Amino acid sequence: MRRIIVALLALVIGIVWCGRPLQARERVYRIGAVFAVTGPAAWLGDPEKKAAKLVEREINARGGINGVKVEVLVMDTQGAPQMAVLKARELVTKRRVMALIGPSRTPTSAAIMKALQLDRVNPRFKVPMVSCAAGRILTQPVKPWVFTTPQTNALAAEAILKYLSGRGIKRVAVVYVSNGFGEDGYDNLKALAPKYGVKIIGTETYGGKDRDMTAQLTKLAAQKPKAIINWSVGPTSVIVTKNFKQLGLDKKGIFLVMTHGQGNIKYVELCGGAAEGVILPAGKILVAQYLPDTDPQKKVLMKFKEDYEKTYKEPVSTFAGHAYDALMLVAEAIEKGKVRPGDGAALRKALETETSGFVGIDGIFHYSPQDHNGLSPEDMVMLKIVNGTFQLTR
Amino acid sequence: MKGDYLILLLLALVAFILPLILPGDYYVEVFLFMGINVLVALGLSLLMGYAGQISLGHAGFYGLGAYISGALTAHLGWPVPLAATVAILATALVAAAVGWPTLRLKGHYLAMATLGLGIILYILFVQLRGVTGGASGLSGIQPVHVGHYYLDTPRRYCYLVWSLVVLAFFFSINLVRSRTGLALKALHYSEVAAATLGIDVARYKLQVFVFSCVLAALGGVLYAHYITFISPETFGFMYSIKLVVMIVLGGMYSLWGALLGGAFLSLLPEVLHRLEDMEVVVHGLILLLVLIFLPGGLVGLIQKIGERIRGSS
Amino acid sequence: MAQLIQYIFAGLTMGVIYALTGVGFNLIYNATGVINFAQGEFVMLGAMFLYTLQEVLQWPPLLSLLLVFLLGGVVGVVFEYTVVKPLVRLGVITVIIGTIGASVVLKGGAMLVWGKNALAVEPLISEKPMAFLGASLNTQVLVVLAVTALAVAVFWYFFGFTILGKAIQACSVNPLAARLTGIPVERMITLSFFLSGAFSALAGGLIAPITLAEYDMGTMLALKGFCAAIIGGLGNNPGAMIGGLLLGVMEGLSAGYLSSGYKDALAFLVLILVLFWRPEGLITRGKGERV
Repeated sequence: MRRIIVALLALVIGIVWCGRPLQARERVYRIGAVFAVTGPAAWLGDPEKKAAKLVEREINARGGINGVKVEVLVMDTQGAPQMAVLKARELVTKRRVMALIGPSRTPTSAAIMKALQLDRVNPRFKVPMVSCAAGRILTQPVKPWVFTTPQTNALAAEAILKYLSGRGIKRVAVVYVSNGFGEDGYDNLKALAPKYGVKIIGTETYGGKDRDMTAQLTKLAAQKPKAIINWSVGPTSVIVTKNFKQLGLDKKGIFLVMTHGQGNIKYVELCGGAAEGVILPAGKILVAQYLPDTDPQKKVLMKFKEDYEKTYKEPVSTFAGHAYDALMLVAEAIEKGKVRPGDGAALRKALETETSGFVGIDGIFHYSPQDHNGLSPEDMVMLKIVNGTFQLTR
Repeated sequence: MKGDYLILLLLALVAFILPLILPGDYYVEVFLFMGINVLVALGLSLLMGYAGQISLGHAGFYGLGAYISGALTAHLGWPVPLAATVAILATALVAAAVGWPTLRLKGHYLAMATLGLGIILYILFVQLRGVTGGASGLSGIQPVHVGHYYLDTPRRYCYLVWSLVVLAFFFSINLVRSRTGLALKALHYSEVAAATLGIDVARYKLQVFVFSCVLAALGGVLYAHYITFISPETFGFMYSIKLVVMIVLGGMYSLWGALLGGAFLSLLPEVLHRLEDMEVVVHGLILLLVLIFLPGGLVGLIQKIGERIRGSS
Repeated sequence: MAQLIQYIFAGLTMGVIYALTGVGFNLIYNATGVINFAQGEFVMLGAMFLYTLQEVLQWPPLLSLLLVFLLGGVVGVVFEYTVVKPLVRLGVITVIIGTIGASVVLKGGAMLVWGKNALAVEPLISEKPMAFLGASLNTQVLVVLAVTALAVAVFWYFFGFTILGKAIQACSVNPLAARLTGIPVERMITLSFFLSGAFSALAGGLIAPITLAEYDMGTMLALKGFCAAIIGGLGNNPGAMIGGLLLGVMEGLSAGYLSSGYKDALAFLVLILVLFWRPEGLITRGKGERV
């Protein structure tokens, strides 16, 4: 018995010793990143992590911010809310980061926001989070300590509806994946459709692991829509595209509209020809080279695209851009606001007041106390897939 | 048996002291989630180790507790204790209703049926958007508070969680020692033999099943009111599997297996996360190696070491 | 009418996939009485192997499929020796957990080797779908259906009418008695793991053009394949095939006429009802059990 007690005591002391807090003398801007690097959303978290690491190297190569180096600590949420909360807590309390970037998805972001009380004016830990997720819950209404970088589903829905109504397409059907992204997209479409005189005549859903959607598409096509809008991410969008072609719906004069979730040339490659003619709203990174030189984003976009593709030997995606923007916005706020290392509260203030007009990958940001997403519909372009590449369309 | 109470006392002591001396909220939070895992695993351990019934759907009942209690406070503004009680009772009712036909099945069939149940519950969490908030998750869940004293820091909440864990262990030890426990043990060896001895097999199995679901629901309630935001993926198939793994790793034939297994699996990611992409593989390998080389689980290992020490001194 | 046929086609597409996985389950179950939760990963590996051989190395499709078959068999045998053999004496639950652990390792390993993104594989015959009464069917589905039917027929003959097949069956019914009659039980079990691994990998290669190849595709396949095997009666290959097709068609119809959101729930509900009323499966005759 005594031995057990001694052993337990030793264990406890060991844990305490390993976990003793880092010394508070901060000579570095320490920023925590939480991404779904593995798990079912790894295709999101992986490019985000790569982009964050790229930006870190770049900032440090030019001497850091205000002469102080930046350190980005990446943690893996595995796409699971509980894991995300733990990792964020570790970064905030043990690693003493002054800001969080990420996570990749809305449920994990919301869980961190709630657990760290970032939706309150005065949380225990004054650490702003710049999330790479787009769900409405994160920014509507504004949460004091939460910012987001991706174009919201609301912006994408608006871009789609504007495009469709501009071509006189008023009867549309919606099919979406039953996860947070899909539901949020559908809610936005439903809310905005009347504004553009568009009528949603049918809705179907599918699961994230479903691999045949012909039943849903057939049911929708029977109601004779002029366009079918698919709101999903990942492989399901490839299957929908292939099934759409297989059913020959394009020949029946129906448009297939995807979303910014397909902002990745891999989507087109996986579809193997079936993606021809698909229309989607997206950030400008996908068509950076086709933008006119007068576009204020062009220089930033081209540089990031070249750096990323040179470093990682894979095509850049919009997801990488979300993480680039998150980290760059934090850096911009630190620089402009002359924020001292470790001062998260000043950083939050600077994000709100000092970064307006920042030219990023996802658009030109205008964070303000009333708007923690800061993008506008002009930051999205409508693309059409022609000959296996993204082309601008109007 | 006396030893069990001694260990329990020790556990209570450790659970009391640890949150005080652990540096920083992060470790306290790891310990907190560990408590929730252990609580749910304990219920399943009674079912698997003592009644010999497998369940691959316990995450569903975990979620049921979380969603009912969470939704009652979020939508209807019920006070947390009332919502939690209703959630646990409702889960017990559901468990009794589905357990009655399900538990007649054996082996693989029982595994499959419980697995199906878990998945159906998961789909309901996703599809009943009006109540559950769908896949986007349910927010607006009330935190636990007594008057103006909010249990909203990891340390405060940790005490709530671990007091319930200690209480649950106390109940479980008594249950195992009671007539029911002995009957269960008989069940595990041979259901037919137990039945011929006049043991009402079906009733005992159902009782344990309901009790284990109650503990799962309690765990869910604790989870929901801590983070105050829940979304379905937390309550999916993978968590059911994780629970079973905890029990087998810890040692199936001892209640303390749930404690050790739960603690082990909760701490493993903390050690492994440096491996980044390799983590998943190493996680699986550790599981396999423990299974192959420590058939009695961690409890078995400790017993063996204990015997060796006793033998040498 | 065209709609109904299309829903059935959608169901068949998923159904053949479930059927294939279900048969893979049976092959191991028949020899050892073990339910292998890593079966879905066998299928995933098949899809990945085919991607590497056919798309990366550009080898001809049929040769690639043959190699996938053999490689899968090797995976099955390695799996037996490293996972099942050391655990089987520790009881059913431990083996189940062991196969789960192995599935985690295989999934994680595949992620390291092939990456996290989905991969596309060219279909065997053509991209062009087949039209039928206004509905259309992916040509690859027909290929898969034909191969499944052929395989089920071969297995039926093999296990029912050949000495080797009967010997394998005997090992699962009563290993001790089998050994006493001079059957090399060990070798028979290894053979079934080879067959199951090989067949599942082939299945993975065949369905990859329909579903894409992805490192975490195994779990859902295993769940539905498991359903198919149970509906058809565990251990019964024609049963698993019919069970899988039934399951798929039911999903297709419920997506079409009821609710696409609840179609999976419905599939599992049917599974549970089958378990309650006919745990021996819809296709098999009931049999007694030793205690």
